[in-house]
Amino acid sequence: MTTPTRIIVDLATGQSTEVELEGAELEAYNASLDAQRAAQQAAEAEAAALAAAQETPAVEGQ
Amino acid sequence: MSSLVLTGDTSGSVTVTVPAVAGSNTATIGAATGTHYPFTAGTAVASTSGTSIDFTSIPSWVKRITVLLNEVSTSGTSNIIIQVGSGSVETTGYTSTTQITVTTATNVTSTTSGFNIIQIQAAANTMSGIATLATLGSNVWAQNGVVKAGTTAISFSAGAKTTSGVIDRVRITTVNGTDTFDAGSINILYE
Repeated sequence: MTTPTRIIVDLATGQSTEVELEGAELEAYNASLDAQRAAQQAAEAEAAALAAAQETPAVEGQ
Repeated sequence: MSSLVLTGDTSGSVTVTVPAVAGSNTATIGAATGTHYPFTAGTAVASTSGTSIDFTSIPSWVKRITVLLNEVSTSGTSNIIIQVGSGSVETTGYTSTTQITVTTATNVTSTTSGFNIIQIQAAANTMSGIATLATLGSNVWAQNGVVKAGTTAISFSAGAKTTSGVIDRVRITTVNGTDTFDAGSINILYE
């Protein structure tokens, strides 16, 4: 897995550097990834439940 | 020569003439008193990696910042936002609204984590356009912009943000903070 990075352009020097995320920024990155995975799993579970409900034959009244 | 001082009378004008060219060029400075700062371009950077691009060391005298996107792309569909800050990037307190038009359909979204300048329709979209931030004073900044996504969509954006101090940095990133830039270039102008 590639380490997340950000690019910094220092206008005072004109230099640009790419640095790895660390500390609070890396924690926020990982938290966002976890939230995205959780949301995707929830959406997949909801879709599966909906599909299962549509496949269940309706019970006819007596 | 480290500096050149031009001293004029209290009336009239000071004229700077460029010599040794065909004809002459005359620049006239208005009567208003103040400090004249240059209109400066930053250093364009390839937006081909990273989850964010920061422009730091913005001078304290800056009153307007223009962010330029040239065929920028990201790895996902999280909207691109601009964040500003004083000492560190501020991630809350923005009032930002973006409308996108795709052929005849429109969609409006609001964001508080940054100035939302484009609603991305697909990871393959390339985005070009301009977003401008200007200050009303007292660290209050207003923003507007127009950015296209792909060849069939365009976003209009506007917003405001009061920063905790004098802006010294601008960050271009995405709402989720995890999508990665993978094409294009970005630069800023400041004045």
